[in-house]
Amino acid sequence: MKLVLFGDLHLDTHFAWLGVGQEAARRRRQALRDTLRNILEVVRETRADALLCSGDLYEHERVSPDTGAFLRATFEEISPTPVFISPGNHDWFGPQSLYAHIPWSPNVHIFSEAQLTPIELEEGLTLWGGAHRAPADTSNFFEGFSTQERSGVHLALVHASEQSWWAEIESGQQPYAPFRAEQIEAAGINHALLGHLHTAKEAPSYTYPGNPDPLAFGERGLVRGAVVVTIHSDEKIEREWRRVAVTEAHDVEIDVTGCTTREEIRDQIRDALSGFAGYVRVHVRGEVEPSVELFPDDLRVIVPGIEAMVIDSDDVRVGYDLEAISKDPTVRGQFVRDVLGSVDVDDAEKDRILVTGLRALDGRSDLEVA
Amino acid sequence: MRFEVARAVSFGPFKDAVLNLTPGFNLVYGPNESGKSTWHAALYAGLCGRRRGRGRPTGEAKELIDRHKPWDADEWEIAATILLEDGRHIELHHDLAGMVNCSAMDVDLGRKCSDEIIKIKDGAPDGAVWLGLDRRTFLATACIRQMELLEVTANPEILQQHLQRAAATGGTDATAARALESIDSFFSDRVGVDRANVKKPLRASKDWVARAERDLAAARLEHGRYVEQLARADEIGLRASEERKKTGFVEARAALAEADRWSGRVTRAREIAPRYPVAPANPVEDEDLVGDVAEALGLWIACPQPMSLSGPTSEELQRNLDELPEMPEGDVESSPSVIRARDRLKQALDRSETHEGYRSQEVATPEAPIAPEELRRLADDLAVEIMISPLPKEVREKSWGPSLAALVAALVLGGVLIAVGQGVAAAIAAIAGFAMAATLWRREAMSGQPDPKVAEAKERKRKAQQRVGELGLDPSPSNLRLLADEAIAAKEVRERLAQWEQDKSVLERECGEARRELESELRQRGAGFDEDLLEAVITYEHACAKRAGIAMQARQRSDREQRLASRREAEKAARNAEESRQQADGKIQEVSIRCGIEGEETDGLVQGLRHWQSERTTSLRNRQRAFEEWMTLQGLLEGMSLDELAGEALRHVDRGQKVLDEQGISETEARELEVEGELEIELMEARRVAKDRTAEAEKLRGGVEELAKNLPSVGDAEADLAAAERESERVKRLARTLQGAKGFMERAQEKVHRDIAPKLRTSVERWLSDVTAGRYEEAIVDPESLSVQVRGGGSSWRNATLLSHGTAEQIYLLLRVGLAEHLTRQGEICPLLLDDVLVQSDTSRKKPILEALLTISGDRQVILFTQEEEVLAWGEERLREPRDQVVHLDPSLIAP
Repeated sequence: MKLVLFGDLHLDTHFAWLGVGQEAARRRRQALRDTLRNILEVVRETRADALLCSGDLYEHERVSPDTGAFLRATFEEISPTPVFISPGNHDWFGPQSLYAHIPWSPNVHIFSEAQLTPIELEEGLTLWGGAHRAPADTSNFFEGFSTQERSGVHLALVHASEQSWWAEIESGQQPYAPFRAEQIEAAGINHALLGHLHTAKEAPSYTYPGNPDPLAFGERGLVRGAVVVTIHSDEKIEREWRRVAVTEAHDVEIDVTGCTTREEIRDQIRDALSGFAGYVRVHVRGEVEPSVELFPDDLRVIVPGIEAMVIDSDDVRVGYDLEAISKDPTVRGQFVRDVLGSVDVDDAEKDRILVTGLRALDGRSDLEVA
Repeated sequence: MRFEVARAVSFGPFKDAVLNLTPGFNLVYGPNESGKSTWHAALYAGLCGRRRGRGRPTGEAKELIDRHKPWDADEWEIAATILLEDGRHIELHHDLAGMVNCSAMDVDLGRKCSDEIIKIKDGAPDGAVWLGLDRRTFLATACIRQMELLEVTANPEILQQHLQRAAATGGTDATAARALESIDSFFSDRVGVDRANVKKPLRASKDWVARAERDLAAARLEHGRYVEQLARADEIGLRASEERKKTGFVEARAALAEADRWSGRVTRAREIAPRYPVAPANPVEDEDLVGDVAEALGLWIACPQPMSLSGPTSEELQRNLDELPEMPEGDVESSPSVIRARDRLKQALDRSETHEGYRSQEVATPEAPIAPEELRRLADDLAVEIMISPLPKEVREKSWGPSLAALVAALVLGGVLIAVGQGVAAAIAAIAGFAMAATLWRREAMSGQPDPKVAEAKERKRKAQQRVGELGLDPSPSNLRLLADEAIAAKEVRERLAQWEQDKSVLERECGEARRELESELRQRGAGFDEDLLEAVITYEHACAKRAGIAMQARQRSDREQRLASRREAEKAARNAEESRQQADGKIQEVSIRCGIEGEETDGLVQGLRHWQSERTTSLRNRQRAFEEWMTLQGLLEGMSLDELAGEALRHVDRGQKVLDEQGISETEARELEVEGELEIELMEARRVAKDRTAEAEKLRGGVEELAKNLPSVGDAEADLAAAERESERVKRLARTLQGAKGFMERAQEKVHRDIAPKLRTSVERWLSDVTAGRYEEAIVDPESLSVQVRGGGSSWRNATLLSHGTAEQIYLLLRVGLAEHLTRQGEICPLLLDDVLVQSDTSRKKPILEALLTISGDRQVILFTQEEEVLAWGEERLREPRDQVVHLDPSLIAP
């Protein structure tokens, strides 16, 4: 039995964090749909017996009018290959959710109960699924659950947080339907196919496929995407990650120390991004000459293949010799001494105040510091 | 620190040129193009070198390159030997072109000391660092150029600005005030105030955030509405689908029912048709006779039986009735009201008669001419004379005797009179006795006393006598009193007679009223009467008794009248029964003839008719049934042949199956559908509901599609809000930064000015008197604005900007010295390098400045470059070697 698992696609998510305008965000949302089509390609290519979605397929509060039609048509494409969906906290099952009012093709099955319910994939192989019925406060699916001594292999498909691992890596996310790994086996489940944590995880008793297309910069860890899960006759489970993303998201660090002009920095960024594609977050760091007029918007360069660029210049320091200046018996020296000696201003703000004040004393007009 | 030697290895036009310098005043003279400015720059470059670093050179460095880099050689080198205040001789060497071979070496120790003066971020040795300065601030502090002095001359405000600039940045850049203005200006442009209608970034970003929040809220609301509407449309669509399915069920059920009906018709037709190869006769043709027989028999059965009446006939009963008297008119017993009126009259008459018997026999006498009371008073007045004679005590004591006797006599007389029934007379006698006794007692009581009113008594007696005389009465008091008693008695008689007459009148009135009442009663009862009403009542009573007897007989008439009426009814019913029977007989006989039944006795005919009727009914029923079946068959066929009917039925069965197939319903499911009412009505209702639901669903779906067309993207709205919040945060952060920078700078400025002001004052005052030839001795520097005021000999303070040009220049130089002292690291002395600063000054101003510089050179090295003969002459006159010197530059040494 071969299954293709994915989760946390988050269709229609907002991408506000991109900070690059609505047009780029729309392209990103379209990319998520294209990613789903790539997942279907994996199903076709591997001749999978079923497609499994472990929740957060879309975001209910942002879902666009044609998302339902898109999903219906897309899943119908692989009919009669069954599609099993366990709704998550973003696409929770309710009377107003897409799941409830889209006329799904017969090959689509949506688990709609708050507790695990079974479907026999084939003789001796049972898939248990459950749904989030509200955007929060979903209970542990495995606590108190038992496969009731059914024979064969039991898989679970749910949107839930394995607590020990969640604590390690996903500090930005809230634990929904939290459980402990040992509860999987205690419930009589051979393997849990999970969603919610966006970082991929290949654990002995469970699998997080990770978000298949980048949702944020800085996504690290295993390759995220669709997982081809093969259940062998000896109950051994084999997993193979397939990259399905259509979007590239990169974090690039550029040291601009020594640059004396904005143009130099721009050239350096342009050189560094050569060969990259998609969405790039550029961390500019280092120390630049005080004379450099530096502002993030000015550093966005056009590089072929780059869809959008986010500039992070928080780590750029302006190369004033503060130690030397602080020894001046002048207002400038006093200003630097006072700023450096202040205790109620954080370091980043100190840097901005110093650069602003020193530029003003230098008679410059570029007083805003990124 | 001071310069000892400057060696231009390759600098501008110089090649291996040397300039030796003394510790005091060095006046370097040379005409134009002799290299003064080059040496000035060479000294600066020899000390400070040039910044090593990538990128474009700053303004000063660029000027240095442009003006002093040899244009015909790659080398660009300068060296200088300086003496520090700590006694070290340092040789500085600067490879200004390659920036590689740059060094500082302690000549005495032969050791490099470049590290002391290489700033981390600079990369090249900078000898100004030993002064606590750098190559920029040294230029601003130690190097005084012609232009600067000209500026002070042209605009004395420059003096203050220079001080402020020096205080702020060592004179290199802006003043703190300018920097603060710049921050304020930047704040105004890039932040602005948070006020309505302001378009500056702070307000604009806030407005953007508010707008984006509203847009997001609206987008979410619309999205929520869309989702709700979508769910609602789906729900209604589902219901419509269910209704359509239900309609399908009903349609299937109806189709099956229709097919069944047609199949039933065929079956029934096939059952009936063989029995009627031809049409049966219409049974309606015999119905009239059958009806007449039934009617006749009905009449016969319904007609009443003959009646046999017994007892007296109605005529006999009428006669008996006629013999009885009619009920008499008038009372059949005495009326109680008549009896009561009669009794009242009787009682009145009795009382009247009794009263007549009480009539008094006394005769009323005429009334006396004088009232009895006056008679008694006259008697009393006349009796006074007897009583006025005094009596002896014993006589008076015994005199109670006559009074008592008189009283007793009166009582006895009264008692006798009462006994004989003369109550009134007895009362009069008693009263007279009492009066007499009282008079006697009184007279007796008073006779023995001296009466103070004797005269009055006598007078009354005289008048009494006169009155009696006038009335012609006997003057005897006793007679008068008797006369009075008689008068009283007569009055009483008259009163009694009057009372009796009054009572009689009342009784007569009662009799009259009783009589009138009785007359009224008798009149009402119709009884006659005359004067003797009591007799009339007796007559009335007799008449009542007589009428009572007649009435008793008359009361039997009612019973007899009822019996007569009953009898007459019975006789009428008997006649009617007889008539009905005769009519029924006639009818029976008539229909019997029509039915061919013979006989004379009606009962026999009736029996015959019933038999005929029974036979006829059975036959008719059979014929009717046959006719009805045949008609049923016609109805089933509806003009079709049996085969045609069967074909039609088959088509309906096929249609039913088709409907089942269309609806995806099995025949069993359809037949299990429970239908409450008529199937067709149910079907119509189901179709109507399905149609309504479908229309509603389509309408909702249309609404949802319309909503979807204009549905704002929540994601876009969130992105816009995020961008707005980022912008708002950026502006707020900028505001915080600018405000922070401003605050720190204001405080730093205040602190530095407060620190520098007294130092400048001290520095200026040290030489002020000398350089101004005693005109000014004191100076003050305002810590806030660094404005300078001077005065001399206790005169008033004068603002330095208002002094003469020469004085202003002098003070400017002194302030520059003061600034150099302030900005220079403690323990070091900063030399002054002046480049032709006096070229624009007139003779009267030059000398004081030169003198001031000479004075200043006592403490620090002064190097003045000049092209003026006048200055040269002054130098040659005033400067003394070896501390000072005049250096003549040779233009020929300048490489062509």
